[in-house]
Amino acid sequence: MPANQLGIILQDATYVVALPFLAGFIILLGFWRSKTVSMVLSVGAVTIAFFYSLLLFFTITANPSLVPWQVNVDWLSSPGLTLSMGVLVDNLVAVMMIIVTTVSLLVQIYTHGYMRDDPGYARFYAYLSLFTGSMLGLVVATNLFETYFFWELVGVCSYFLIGFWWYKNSAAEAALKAFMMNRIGDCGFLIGILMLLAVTKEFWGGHTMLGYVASGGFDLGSVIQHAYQSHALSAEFLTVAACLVLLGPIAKSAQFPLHTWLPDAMEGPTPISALIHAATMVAAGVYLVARAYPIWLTPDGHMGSTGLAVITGIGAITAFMAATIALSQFDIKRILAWSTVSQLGYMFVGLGTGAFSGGIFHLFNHAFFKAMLFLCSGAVIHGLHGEQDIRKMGGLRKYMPITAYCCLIGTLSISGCPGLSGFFSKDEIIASACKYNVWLGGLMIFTAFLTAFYMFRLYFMTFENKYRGDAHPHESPPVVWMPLVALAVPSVLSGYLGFNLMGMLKPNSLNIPFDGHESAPLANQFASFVHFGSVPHFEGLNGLVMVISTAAALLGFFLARAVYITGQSKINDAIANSKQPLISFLYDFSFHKWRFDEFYMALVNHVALPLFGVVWRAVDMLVVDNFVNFSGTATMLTGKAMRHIQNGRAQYYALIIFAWIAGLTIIAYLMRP
Amino acid sequence: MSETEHSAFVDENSLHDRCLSLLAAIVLVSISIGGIYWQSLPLPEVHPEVEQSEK
Repeated sequence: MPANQLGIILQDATYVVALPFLAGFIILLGFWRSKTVSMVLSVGAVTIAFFYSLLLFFTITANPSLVPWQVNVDWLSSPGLTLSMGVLVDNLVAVMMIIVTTVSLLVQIYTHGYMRDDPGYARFYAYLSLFTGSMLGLVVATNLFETYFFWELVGVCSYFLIGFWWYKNSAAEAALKAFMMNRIGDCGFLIGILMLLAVTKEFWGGHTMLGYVASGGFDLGSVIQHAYQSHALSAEFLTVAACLVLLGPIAKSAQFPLHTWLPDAMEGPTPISALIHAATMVAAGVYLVARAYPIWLTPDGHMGSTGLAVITGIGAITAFMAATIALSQFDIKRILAWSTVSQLGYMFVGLGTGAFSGGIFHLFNHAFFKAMLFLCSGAVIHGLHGEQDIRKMGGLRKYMPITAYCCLIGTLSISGCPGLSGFFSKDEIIASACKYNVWLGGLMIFTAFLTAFYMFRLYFMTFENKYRGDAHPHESPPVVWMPLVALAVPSVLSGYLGFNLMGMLKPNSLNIPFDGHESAPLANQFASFVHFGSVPHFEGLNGLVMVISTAAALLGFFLARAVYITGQSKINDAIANSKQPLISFLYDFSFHKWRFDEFYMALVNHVALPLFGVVWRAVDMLVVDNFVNFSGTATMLTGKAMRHIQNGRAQYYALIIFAWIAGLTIIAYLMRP
Repeated sequence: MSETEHSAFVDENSLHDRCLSLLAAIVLVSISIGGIYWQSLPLPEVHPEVEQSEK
């Protein structure tokens, strides 16, 4: 196909982003009255977007020279400052578009089965469409300002969808909590953007300001480097700005310490949990870290920066913390939510330790298996008429085998079972963490053990042994389980994109050292397609790390099996009912989510509100109130004085006029030359 | 909602359900083809000196 025709395919990205928006607005403006029309419009728009994403991928792989491609229009223009909106297409965008459109389409199909009885069925599809459009807009954004714009739009959609069943107090409160937490992060994000803009605005030379990709050295990395060399920007300033920008991804990707909103967001309908709070929106934080990667490097573009160290630290704490919390929860969706928080932490660790492709690869794999796990949980909840407590489940494999096997695939994948997708990407991150710092690597491996334990705990308590509830479980209709099956395939196979399968089949290729060293770098499909910089960076295989992390996952599986299947171990009862103060404290600490909610409430009640009280008394009452009161009193007194003059008697007014004229005449007489 | 549309949302084997299930199957086939295609793409040569300088 000629290059200009291929270029048209890239340009169509603009319309594809607009389509779901259009569908959402049309539904909200009138077609919500018809469920069928709403569903067809919404599913149709995302179907077109899905096939376009595949076409885009094929186009880029066949003609790599076509990308990066972008188009920009001026959005806000003033002397010395031009902010643009546009569409960027490159390899990273192509991968993200595949993730967003695939998961969104399958979730929309699933929604028909899950929400068919809900009176808000059409409204739900409208929000889904608006979210998909916003998310695609965020993905194709050409600069930080545009990203911020769509960042807020996905946040608003998330707020609407968490509070979809607004008449439930818990849903309304969860929506508000998500909104507030994200505002804290977004506030830092905006300040960080403005700081970067303030010091770099003279260096963009008429190109898209804060643009991610541009020709002629006018992208974010080059401009930061140029500003640094010109002494317009210092390393410390960049670190502060980078940390403020990072607050946005921290809140959006539910990282420590702004993570508390995500488990509560499970109050929303399950399709939303799968699409927004597992696969796409929460991954936007990771995407932004990757997209604006130069911000977190040193000003001259090297690794080993404070920014990357902060990303690594936050990711590691989050991954470990969320895994320890997931161990003791009983709500099926909340366990999955904590596991999402933990896996996002892994992605942060990957990006922070320099495994750029590994971090995005885990995002890619995680999107499929986590969306599937959430949809499985929805099928279980649907089959049990709303039950979410895993203590009232058990033995469901007999009643819903397709859901059970899909959930098993997801569980194996997230646990890092060799051969499944999660193994390949998680292993890459763990290996990178081990290289960065051996203690960090150890923590990540221990977290992998916890992950395997809590995920198999969930699986065993839900699908194995005897049914402990009183509902009548049943398998979901095909429209619900077909999306599960469609997601199960990439959950198994997508990992092989990060593993040179064909190369491994060659003689002498499986030369993996098990002495702690790495093999020679091995090329793979994913890293050669998604990479930072102009040259792909490949890692070697570390046999020792692979064996230890697999052993950790196996240990987690066998421990969960011993506790929840064979009953050989009573460790769970012993811990939950322990009278030992330390064990009791640790269990309580895990069960109450490290007491973050209580801490934040105490912070608000005992610090923020008293502080606001002081400010209210000192500023509002003393300054503002007194100023307003003075103004009112002065007006009143003036009025009182003046009303004697304004008495309505014509003779009195004539007398005043006469007095003035007389007075002025006397003055004129006295001042005569 | 009309009678026909109402039944489409009650019946789990309605035309709506069957079309959407078929669409999910098409998605499954499409991503499988995409995955196979991606896996079959030629890989770049690994240059150890480039790797070294990247590190």
